[in-house]
Amino acid sequence: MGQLSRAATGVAVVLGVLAAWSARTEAHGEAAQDAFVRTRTVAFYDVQVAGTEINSGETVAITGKFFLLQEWPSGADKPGLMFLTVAAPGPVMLVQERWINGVFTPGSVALRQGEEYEFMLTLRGRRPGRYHVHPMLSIQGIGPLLGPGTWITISGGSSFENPLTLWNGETIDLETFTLPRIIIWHVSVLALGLSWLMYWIAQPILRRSRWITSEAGDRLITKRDQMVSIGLGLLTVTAIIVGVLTTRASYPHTIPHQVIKS
Amino acid sequence: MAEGNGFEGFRALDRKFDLMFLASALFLVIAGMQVTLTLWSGDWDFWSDWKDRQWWPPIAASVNLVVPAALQYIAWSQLRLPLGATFAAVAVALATWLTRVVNMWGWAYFPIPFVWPATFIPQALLLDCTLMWTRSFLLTSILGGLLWGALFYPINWVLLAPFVQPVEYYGQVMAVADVQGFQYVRTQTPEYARLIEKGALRAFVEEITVVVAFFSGFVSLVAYWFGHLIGRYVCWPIPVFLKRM
Amino acid sequence: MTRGVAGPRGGESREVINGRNWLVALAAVLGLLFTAAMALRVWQQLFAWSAGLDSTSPEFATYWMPVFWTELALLGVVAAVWWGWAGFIPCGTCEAQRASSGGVKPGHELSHIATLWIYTTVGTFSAFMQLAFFGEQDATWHQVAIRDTALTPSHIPLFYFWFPLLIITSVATFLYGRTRLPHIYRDHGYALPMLLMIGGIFSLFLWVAVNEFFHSFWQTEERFSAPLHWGFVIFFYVGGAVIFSIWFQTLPGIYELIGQLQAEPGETGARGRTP
Repeated sequence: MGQLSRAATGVAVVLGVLAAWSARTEAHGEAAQDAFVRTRTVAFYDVQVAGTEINSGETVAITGKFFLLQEWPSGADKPGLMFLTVAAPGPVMLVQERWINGVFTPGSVALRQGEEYEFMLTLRGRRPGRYHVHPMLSIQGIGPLLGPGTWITISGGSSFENPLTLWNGETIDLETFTLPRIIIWHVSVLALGLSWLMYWIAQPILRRSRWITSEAGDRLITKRDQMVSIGLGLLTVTAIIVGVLTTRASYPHTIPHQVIKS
Repeated sequence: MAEGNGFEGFRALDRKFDLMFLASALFLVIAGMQVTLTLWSGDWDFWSDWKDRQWWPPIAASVNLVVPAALQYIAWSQLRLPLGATFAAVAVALATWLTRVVNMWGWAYFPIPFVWPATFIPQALLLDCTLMWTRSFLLTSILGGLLWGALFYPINWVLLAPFVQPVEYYGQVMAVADVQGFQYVRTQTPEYARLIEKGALRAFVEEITVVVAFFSGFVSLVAYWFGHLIGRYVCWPIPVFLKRM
Repeated sequence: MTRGVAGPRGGESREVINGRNWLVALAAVLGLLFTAAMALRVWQQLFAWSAGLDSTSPEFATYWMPVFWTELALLGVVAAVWWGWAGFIPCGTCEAQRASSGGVKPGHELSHIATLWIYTTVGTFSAFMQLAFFGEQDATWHQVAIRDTALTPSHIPLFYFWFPLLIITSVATFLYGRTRLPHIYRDHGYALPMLLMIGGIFSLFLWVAVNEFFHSFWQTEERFSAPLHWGFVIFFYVGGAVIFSIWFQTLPGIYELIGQLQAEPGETGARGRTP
């Protein structure tokens, strides 16, 4: 009994220390994950963050290693595809680069258990503020597995540009790319739709229910209604044709979405 | 419609009911449309890097026809109004823009070029006009339903085309939308969760978008009847009374 | 449909019904609901990222749990008062009119129908907030932050304010119909549209439990169009679509009552005109 009580005390102390330690390091929802999921699947180590105070637009690199344990908990599904990313409170910073073992890795990967992988994530500050950021490996069937977190402070103004060079050499800003086109197309089709609705709503509507079952119901759609529908229908078809043709002329080279898995 | 036969007096009071009906119906239709859009086709509508050719057109076009079809039935059978589909499409357009701007951009700080919504308004207008001219739900489901599905991708191609331009990004060929997905952090949406075309030789056949259009039209035709039956059997005045619960 | 409605007898003044007060009441109700929505949204803007990411943190207990408990307490009071008034306190005007003239006047009955419609508007606005605005917002939060509780900053308004409010409204609508419009909603039995409305909307709330269960044990990624969410759509089709049925069920009565208002004698001026 003496040995048992000593063992129980020891376990309680260890658990207490772990709990206290956990509260300090975990600032996100991973506390809800089972301990075996967090500690017996992926181990992050040698994690370094090159600079924790940056200006908006500047980059910071997170480097380190992670090890996929060979012995996998029986309570967790065998690992499928994995995706290296960061746990951050939204796109307050962008992921500029993802590298695993020196290979640029934009998508999901199939990694081997019992092996160590070197990673680098380059983040670019976007929104000023102080954020807790973790490197993270999402595993299909298990969920997000977080590495150690770091507080990163982003300073600077709120204007931010995200340039990207297209196939034709044109540089665009992903923050505002084609925003006028999006607004114009949506407003145009909304105007068409609202015109149709306003035309009908300008007349009494519920009253029409009184004539539905009678012969007068057939006369509820008038010649004027038909002419308006023809006009609006033609306008709609014209808008679609013009929209599609001008779009094809403006953007002649397109590719399907790319799914890059290695 | 002629205002005679003693209906002059309706002018004040029943227009008040019209207003109450429209206000209340607008909220109801927004709820129905947006819950369908988000929970049946949401991921494809939220993000530009999900708007592919294999999953987005058939799913988004078809599921978002259910409520318009139900509303078409109600509006036409009860009020002889050919505006059910347009009402639904306009309602969801206003509502999705509200949530994208206030929540996606205003709360989570995603740029609008990443989270713009699709539009259903032009095809809804054509669907309503088809019903008005054919006066037949069967013909509307065939002609209008096929048009709805087939036109979904071309109509939204106006918005999507810039985002599927090729980019060379650190030695990889990606579309602009893929780069957006790569860069803008979505902690709980790992890349493997993205359900889009994974690439096949046949996907480079020139007529693939025509094939996609026809398939989307067919699925939309089926979805039209699902919505129509909801309208027919759930939304009309059900004169059934239970003596005991 | 309008059995029990009486016209004015000799010496009684003609009812003056213009419907403006209905619109004022509707505007006031929508204003109140919109204010609640704004308050919740502003709270999220201020405290979601700073205090809502970790449900085990003291900040979460300070800024989010009180909102949760306040919502439930407030809605409990609203339910008790509203159901009590709609279901157990009879309309004094109806009783007085029945006593004096044998039936309810058409204008007053029309006001009851308008009030029923306003009740349904509380419901449809709640549905808009629940399934559209805060519903899509839920995707915004959950695809960005790691889920560690059922009481996330997006769930607290969505599941624990607007959902319960919709249920409360559906029951209040049912009770109001039975007590204020008995010849439509009581004398023939329980109207199926009302029962479907309550049943469908209550099933939505049950599906919340299914949703959280699946999220906790099965679904590790936050795909929003996943099968575990589809129940919300189906149950809303049932519970929400019948609201059209409720409106159209009262429509013939509305026109009959308006016709009776026009037919009331005793006032000079254009026949059939209402002020």
